[in-house]
Amino acid sequence: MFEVDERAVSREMLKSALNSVGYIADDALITTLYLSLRLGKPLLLEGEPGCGKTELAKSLSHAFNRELIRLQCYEGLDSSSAIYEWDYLRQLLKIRMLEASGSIPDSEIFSERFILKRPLLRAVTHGDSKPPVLLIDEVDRADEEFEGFLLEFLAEFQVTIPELGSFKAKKPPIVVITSNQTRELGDGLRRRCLYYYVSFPTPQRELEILSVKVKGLDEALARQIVGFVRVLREEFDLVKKPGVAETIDWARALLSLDAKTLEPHLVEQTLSCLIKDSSDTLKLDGDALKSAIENSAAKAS
Amino acid sequence: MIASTIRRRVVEFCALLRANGFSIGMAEAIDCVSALKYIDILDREAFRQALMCTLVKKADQIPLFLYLFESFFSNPNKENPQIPLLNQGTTSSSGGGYTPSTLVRRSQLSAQNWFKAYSPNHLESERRMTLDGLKHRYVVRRNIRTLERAYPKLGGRRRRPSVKGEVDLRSTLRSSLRGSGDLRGLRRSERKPAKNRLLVLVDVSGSMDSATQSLLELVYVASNATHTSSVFCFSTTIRRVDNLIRGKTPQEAARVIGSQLSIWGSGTRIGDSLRSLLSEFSRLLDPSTLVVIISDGWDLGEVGGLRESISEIRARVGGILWFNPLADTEGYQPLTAGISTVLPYLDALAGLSCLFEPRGVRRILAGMRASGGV
Repeated sequence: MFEVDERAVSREMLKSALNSVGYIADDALITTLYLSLRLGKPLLLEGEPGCGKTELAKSLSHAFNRELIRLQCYEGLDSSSAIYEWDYLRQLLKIRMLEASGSIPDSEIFSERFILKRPLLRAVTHGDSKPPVLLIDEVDRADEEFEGFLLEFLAEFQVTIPELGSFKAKKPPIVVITSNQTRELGDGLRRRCLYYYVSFPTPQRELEILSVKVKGLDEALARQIVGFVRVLREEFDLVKKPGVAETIDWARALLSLDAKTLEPHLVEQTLSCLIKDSSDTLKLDGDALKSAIENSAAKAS
Repeated sequence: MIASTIRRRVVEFCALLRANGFSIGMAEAIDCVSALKYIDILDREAFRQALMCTLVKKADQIPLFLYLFESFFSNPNKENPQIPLLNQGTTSSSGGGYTPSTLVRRSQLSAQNWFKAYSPNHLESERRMTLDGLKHRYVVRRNIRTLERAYPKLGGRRRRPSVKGEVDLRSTLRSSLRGSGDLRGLRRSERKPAKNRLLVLVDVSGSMDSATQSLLELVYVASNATHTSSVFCFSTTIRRVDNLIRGKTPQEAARVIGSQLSIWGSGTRIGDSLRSLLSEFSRLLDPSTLVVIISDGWDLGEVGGLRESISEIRARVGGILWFNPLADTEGYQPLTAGISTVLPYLDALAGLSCLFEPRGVRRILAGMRASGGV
């Protein structure tokens, strides 16, 4: 864990900090993340599902011992779920108490203690000298109205509550935004961020990830696993190509079954770790599977 | 501190990108120069990544960026090791490189070549396209928005007041707070139906040439009518176009399509195009997606592949509507191999004119409702 100002680290330190918490990143991603921290700009990550976009934010918070505040986006996400909501029940109770004591409910009802803070408000009122990591996950699932609101938030790191005034972050949070590209994001949001496209890793990088994430996995088997997954990604027209997360799951499954090498029956039994679409299962019938295992040896080397 | 030569080169490079369709304002250029302060500019990879993360904002811009970067910063000049200068031919009066305008002109040529190399089936020359008038703009837009709400199957997360809905505690408390906490009666609400995500696939092959003007208008309006729509053109392959023309004027959009969409007017392989859609854009296909295909169904590809692709798409999306310009003629029968293959997987087959007539889509949906289709 690194107890240094994350905005003052070098690229090498950033890389070793992420490595220390098990996140193996390409140099290009490290450079982008480093610049995002130095320039104080949000980082927008797009790319294939299961390639470590969300994991990067988690690892960053872990590596620098920062609180991780996660805002999971979905259709219909509104300000009461993203910023704040008044605690109606407590307000009602307070009103009853004041009435019982003969007082008149006044502005006290709308004070900070009756606010339920949601992720964005928490991110600007952290009050800590260490700014948190704010993960805005799958922003493409949120409505455009919410995206429009984010523009203002990301520009000022400020939230306004009509009854109380504005809350501005003393130190802006480290913002990581992820998108699975289910819809095109607006230009406004893109322009406020540094951009990185997370694609499938190279075989060498994937081997490194496996060696860190799946302890005790035989290197020869790891090579076969990486080769096989590569064959699936490149030679089969799959609807959902397996990401790194699936490779890790599969390696763990094979390890728990004490596999020493890729046998067709073992692959068949554990294929559900890699394949997540029924039409893809049909494409990997007996012969196709055998040829994929044979080809994986060449890919592994 | 960044040397003025480097700043000038970066500004020239920004102009080059801008001329090739990148949306780069002053803010991006400033970010880019600021980023260079934090990296070792002799490290080519870091230098390229610093430029890329600040100037590229979409995944599909990456190949073109890399091409232009290599062209612009190639041929390392030993006398100036910090930033290699592009080409050593004509020099400007300031010495060493080209003037920005020369660079832009040269780079435009390069970019056009790049697009042609990138597209497997480009035509020999640019296609001149015009989009003046937009006679049916409002009608088409209304029809597209009607399609967006055509399949109100899934309840969205948003709620609206409704006397028949569930009790809404939050709304009830909110209203009671307005009256100093006195309960004014129960408020009720229901989920608002979610909008569909539209996927508009327009056949721009040679057999659709007679409808070029209508298709161009449709592509433009569909790309700009709603942010939830994705518009693709296909012939022998498929290309996404909404991100190329969204927010542009009709004239600009026509120019971009004419210069960059070299598949316009070539042969038709519907099955292969749909297969590409499945493999490259599967993230766009889910039960909230309504696929709208505009095609005459003439197909040069294999019928088996077409059947496989359309059935796979149908299994993943909420519905498929097919608009066929031939279906506008009296006595039309869906007998061509392409149409008869896809017919079992369609929710409706209608004439293209329905999209250009007021309430045309409403009529189709009403007909489908009457027959129990929707």
